[in-house]
Amino acid sequence: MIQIIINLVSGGLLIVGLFFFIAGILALWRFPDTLCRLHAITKADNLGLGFIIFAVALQVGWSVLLLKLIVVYLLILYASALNGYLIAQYAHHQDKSNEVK
Amino acid sequence: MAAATPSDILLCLLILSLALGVLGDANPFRGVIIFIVFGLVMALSWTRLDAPDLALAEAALGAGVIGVLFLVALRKQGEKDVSLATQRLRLNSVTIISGLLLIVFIVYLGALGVFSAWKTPGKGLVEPVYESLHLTGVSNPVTAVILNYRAYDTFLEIGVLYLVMLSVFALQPDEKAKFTSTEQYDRMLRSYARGIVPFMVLAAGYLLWAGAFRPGGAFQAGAMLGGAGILLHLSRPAMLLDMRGLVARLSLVAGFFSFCILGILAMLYGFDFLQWPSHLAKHAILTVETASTLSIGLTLTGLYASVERKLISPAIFYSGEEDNP
Amino acid sequence: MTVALLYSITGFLLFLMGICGLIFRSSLIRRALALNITASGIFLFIVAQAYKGESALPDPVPHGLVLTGIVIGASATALMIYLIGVLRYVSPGDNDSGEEE
Repeated sequence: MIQIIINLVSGGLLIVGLFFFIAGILALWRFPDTLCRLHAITKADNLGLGFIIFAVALQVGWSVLLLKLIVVYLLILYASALNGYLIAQYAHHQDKSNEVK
Repeated sequence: MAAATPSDILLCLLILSLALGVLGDANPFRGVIIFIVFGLVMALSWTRLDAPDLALAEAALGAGVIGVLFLVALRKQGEKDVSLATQRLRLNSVTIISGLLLIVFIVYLGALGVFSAWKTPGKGLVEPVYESLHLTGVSNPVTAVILNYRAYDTFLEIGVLYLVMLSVFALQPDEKAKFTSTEQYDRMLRSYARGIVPFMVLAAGYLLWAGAFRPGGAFQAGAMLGGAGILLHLSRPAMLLDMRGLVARLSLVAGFFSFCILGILAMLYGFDFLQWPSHLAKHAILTVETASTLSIGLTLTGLYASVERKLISPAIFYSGEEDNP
Repeated sequence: MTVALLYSITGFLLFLMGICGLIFRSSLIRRALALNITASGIFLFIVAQAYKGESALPDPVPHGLVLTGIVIGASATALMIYLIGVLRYVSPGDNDSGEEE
């Protein structure tokens, strides 16, 4: 019984996570410039990945694997924040140098 | 035999269309980005085919290090693309006949291989490998294959890596001055590197140790170390550039030398070259793996550093104008 | 269609595409990419032959070969890229004839 509820909840979380991913990809595809795209996809991706990790964590239960999942999520958050910053800065510099020209 | 599921077919179609994108896209930058995605999807297909060792190596090397190298090459190249203009294909009797022969040959080989997969495939070498696994000192069969059964291959392969590094060194100018950088490097990147590199070194150590009993091993750990080195190089370029110091040189040859020394030691005790006695096999493999990890990591970092900095002095090859004054 | 057959065919097609790219693209970077695709096709072919089904253990010998192949391929690619960089100084006149913008 408990297992069925856990399966249902984690399935629902997976779908929510996928929804955010798809929204992010749609934004990447349709939005006009780099900063807009970046804004949308970093947020949507982190949220979507959070939901997916949560769904997997429910399946895993209390174990070392759960700790690994959390570490993976934190590392990805760290890296994606830096990535977003670097891309945004590059785009910003490009814009500036275009204006000067 | 297992029948292919729809997700298998999707994965294969994805791989093929990504490859088409890499080769066909008009924009080389997009081609390289698609190539990185291609590497990640290949890693997915390795996991599908029960080869997690390969997935680890492909994700770190195929998608990570090679992707970065291609990006750097494109940036260095700028707008212009180097191509062999004089080598364009011309249609005459020779090229047509040799092209047809090539096509027949490739299709013949491919059909042969596909046919062998289609009729019920044999067991391969699964049983012999697992039968004597307890004598190899490790319980991960892939590690047993590359560092015990076929240690010769791995020895020569480490030699090839060393040769690649040597040839890149040989093409570099003999500059006495230390490399100093005048460019401004990003503070955020530097603090990120400071935070994450210790974790990467830890993960490399874990992969190295885990290689004995689960997916992992010297190559994956070396790739991880190489990634850490590249990150360090990105955030503080002058730090790792100089590979001419004694420690760096010794670390570059550590893998190759440890194979040589342990192989010769084995011969002194009456075994064959690179034949580990079963009670010492674990120690021998661990020694060789640790040294190789160090060498692979440093080689990848050094290759990246050489490609990234313009270490080629134009005066050696061509006494004309320099393109980036 | 079995899994091994499907991935073998995919590997074979990748190999063909890589060879075609090698012949028909003139940009050197594109050729290096094509060589990498060719190598991936060969690896996929070999590993597909090593796959023995859902419950059976895969053959570790091809895995070992492909693992070393991936590492060698990466270092060979690095050398290729380095030599492409060298070539810019050797043949400065040929730079303008790339097929891409």
